[in-house]
Amino acid sequence: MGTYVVRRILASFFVIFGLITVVFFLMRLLPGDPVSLMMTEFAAAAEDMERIREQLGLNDPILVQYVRYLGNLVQGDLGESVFTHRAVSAQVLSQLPATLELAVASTLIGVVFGVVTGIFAAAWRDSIFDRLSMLVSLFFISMPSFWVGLLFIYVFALHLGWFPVAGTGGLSHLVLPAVALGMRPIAVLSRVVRTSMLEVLRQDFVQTARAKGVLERRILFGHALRNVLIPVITLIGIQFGYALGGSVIIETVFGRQGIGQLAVGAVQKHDYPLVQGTVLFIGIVFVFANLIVDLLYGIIDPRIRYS
Amino acid sequence: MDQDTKSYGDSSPEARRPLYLSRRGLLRRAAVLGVSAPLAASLLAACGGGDSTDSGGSGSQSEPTTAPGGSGGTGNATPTTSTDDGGQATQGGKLVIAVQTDPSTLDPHVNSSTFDTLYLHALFDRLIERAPDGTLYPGLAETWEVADDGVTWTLKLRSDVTFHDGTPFNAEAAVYSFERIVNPDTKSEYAVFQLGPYESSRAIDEFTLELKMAQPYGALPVSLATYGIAMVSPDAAEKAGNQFGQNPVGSGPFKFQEWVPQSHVTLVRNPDYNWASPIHTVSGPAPLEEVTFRVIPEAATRAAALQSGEVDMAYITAADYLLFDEDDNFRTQKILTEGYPPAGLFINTAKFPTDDVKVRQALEYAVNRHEVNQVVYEGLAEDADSVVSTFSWAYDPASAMYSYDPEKAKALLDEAGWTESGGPYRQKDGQDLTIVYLSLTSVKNVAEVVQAQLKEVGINAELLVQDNPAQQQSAQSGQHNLVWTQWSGVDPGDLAKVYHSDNIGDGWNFSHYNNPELDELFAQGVAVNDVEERKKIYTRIVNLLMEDATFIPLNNRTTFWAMKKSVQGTDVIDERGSNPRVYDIYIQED
Repeated sequence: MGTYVVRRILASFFVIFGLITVVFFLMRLLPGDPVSLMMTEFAAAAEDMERIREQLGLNDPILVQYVRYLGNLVQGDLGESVFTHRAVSAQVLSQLPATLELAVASTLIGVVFGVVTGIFAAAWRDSIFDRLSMLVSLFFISMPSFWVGLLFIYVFALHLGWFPVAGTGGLSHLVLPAVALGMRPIAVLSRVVRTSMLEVLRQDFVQTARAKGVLERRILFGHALRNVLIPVITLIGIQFGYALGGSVIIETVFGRQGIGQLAVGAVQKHDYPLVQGTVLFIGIVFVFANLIVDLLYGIIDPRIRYS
Repeated sequence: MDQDTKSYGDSSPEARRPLYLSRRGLLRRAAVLGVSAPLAASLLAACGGGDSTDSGGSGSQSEPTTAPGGSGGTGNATPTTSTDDGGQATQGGKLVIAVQTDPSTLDPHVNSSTFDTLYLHALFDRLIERAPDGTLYPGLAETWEVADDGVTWTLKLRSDVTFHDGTPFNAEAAVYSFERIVNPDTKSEYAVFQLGPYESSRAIDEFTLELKMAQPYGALPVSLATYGIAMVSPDAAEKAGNQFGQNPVGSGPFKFQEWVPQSHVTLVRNPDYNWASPIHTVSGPAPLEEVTFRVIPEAATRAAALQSGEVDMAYITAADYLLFDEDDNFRTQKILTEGYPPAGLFINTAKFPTDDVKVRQALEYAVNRHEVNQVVYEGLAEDADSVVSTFSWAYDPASAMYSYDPEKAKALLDEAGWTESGGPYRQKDGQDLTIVYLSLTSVKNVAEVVQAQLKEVGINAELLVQDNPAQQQSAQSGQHNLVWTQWSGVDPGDLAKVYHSDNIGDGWNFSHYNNPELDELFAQGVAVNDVEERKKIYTRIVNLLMEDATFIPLNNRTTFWAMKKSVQGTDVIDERGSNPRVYDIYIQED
């Protein structure tokens, strides 16, 4: 397993290298540049804009810029933001904890509530609980998180006053955005767990267990659940990625700190170094989250071997 | 140009998708949930993407809306609540203001975002202050005058000013700021251009500063009043290097406390502040002890945060403005931004068929700007009728030469050879009268109204909707006949940036207007120091641009604020009509 991990990490480097290369050229393929977007409030003379481009090195050929960027990158220098002139690494790192906190919390909420709902929906198949939970989950799969976020703000923050409307901080600031972002994982997981569970419950070993008089509770949580966990773990990896992506919207709606909000602003302003920096960090987090998921398979199902 | 970065900030990607629910449907649902109508409506505004706050109108005056009077004229309106005995406002209190984005940097010499005057005016002082009506007031300079050579300016500075770090302010410190601005290492995005033909500066004595220009520069006093040319502490700037934007030290009424990116910026009162410019309604240390600016990108969330009391004041959208305006617990404030030009349509003078001045004039008469304002901005934007805002000192009533008159438009088109064809559009040589109208997504509704108006007179306007900076490129390459923009500014000299022939192609001359007479007038206008002389030149410029029908004025750009009823003194506005000046704000409970 040790060599497997090393190989995966090496492969990750190539994935991330490809990622930043694509983003580097993609951003420059877009029309306009940061300087033209600086000058959207007041007009600037063409020659003045040219002067700033020159200062920022934007007039160099793209390949020269690319090689320069990579050269700095291997030395650990991500450059500085075009607009704030702050080091990109410092800017991204200051936002990373808030995004991770949100992504982990929403994934946890998704797993706990999704799995529990799915199990009971399967156990009480065709009951009111089953039908209602599947209907509600369909609703949250379909709803854009933007809309869910605003709805939560109006209901739970403004009308009921249970939570603050916006901001970053303690647990009270985390609950609404994490639940809003977790609604989709709950919905997806509960449906998957329900289906897999129903399938497992139909299998012979469950019948045998029942025949032996094993308690239904033990059958559900002991025998069946373990067999359902593999697809669940796969989904957790996917949903964690979704949470990272979804943070772009949720952080904006809830006025939370985070990489998502940082990335949105950077893309809008064509702040090239900052866009590349946010993508790089999100990429690293995502790649490693998937690695952990892959390693979990072996723990849950010892039959799975890495080679 | 299109100042659209602001509205981008207001809408997450999904916000710009089509409405998920009908307005009525959502309101009904909201009622069931017990959500108040204003919130539900602002939710709607957010979902629908009707989130562009600054619509059009521009102007530089402030209009306190709870109090009668005050508005109308130019310049700062009378405060809604009179301050006690001639200028001392209620002391104390902390204020939380919800804003849409982080400042880009708190280094005034670098910053190019006009929204950041909110912070920069609180932290720094300028040599001169400008009210939105164009009146100049002494700032850190008590007097300023230009010598007979036309290029040497002498400024008498205040002798009682200290920076937040204890460094005294004097002529040497001022020289430091000027030299820092023009140093390429500073990477100034705004201040350096505002300085124009600046050549050098020196301290004549401790409190006398001399500025030398390479050529006469009549806009210098106004430039010195812009947020970029602020006085910074030389010691602090030297120590911080290019990190000064994270550790700003000025001499303003507030000191920097902290900036947590994408969360908040906190400023605290400077207890020693005793050198307020007479532009302010208060003097001495600021009424507020502390101001926190909270970043909440989404407009609907900002409105909710104000409604819930989490913040005291917020930058809001036009739709929310109407709702807060009706609510007795809140005050609202409209700020008009000076436009050079205001919101409107540049007509491409180089592309068929608008290369014909008769066709351009027909367009001028065919557009009903009042209807645009009513339909798109619910009447909140103020109509504009010239290539500069009505309240600019360069405004000439004679330049307002076009008002809605479809008959005149038709007659001009007949003259130009575009005649009725029996079909929906006029024709010449068997070809339909078709023009390309380039619009930003955020103002597509403006384009649709104008499109319908043009159809009335037989013009087929094809809409090409793009976002910045794609639109900028399309307009630079001249793919359009009409393009919507709005530009703020502080001096009519700013018009050169959108009409000088040097700015065709790479710059912002979207009319692709090339007129040597105009270029010459621009050169004269900026090189004259006498205001009356300048006024004559700009009157000529403004009339020329309108006679040649290069621009269809629509409205003055407007920004909207709402605050708790107790928040007062929000009507002293910065030099370019972007924001209230935080120094004057105070809290007065009933």
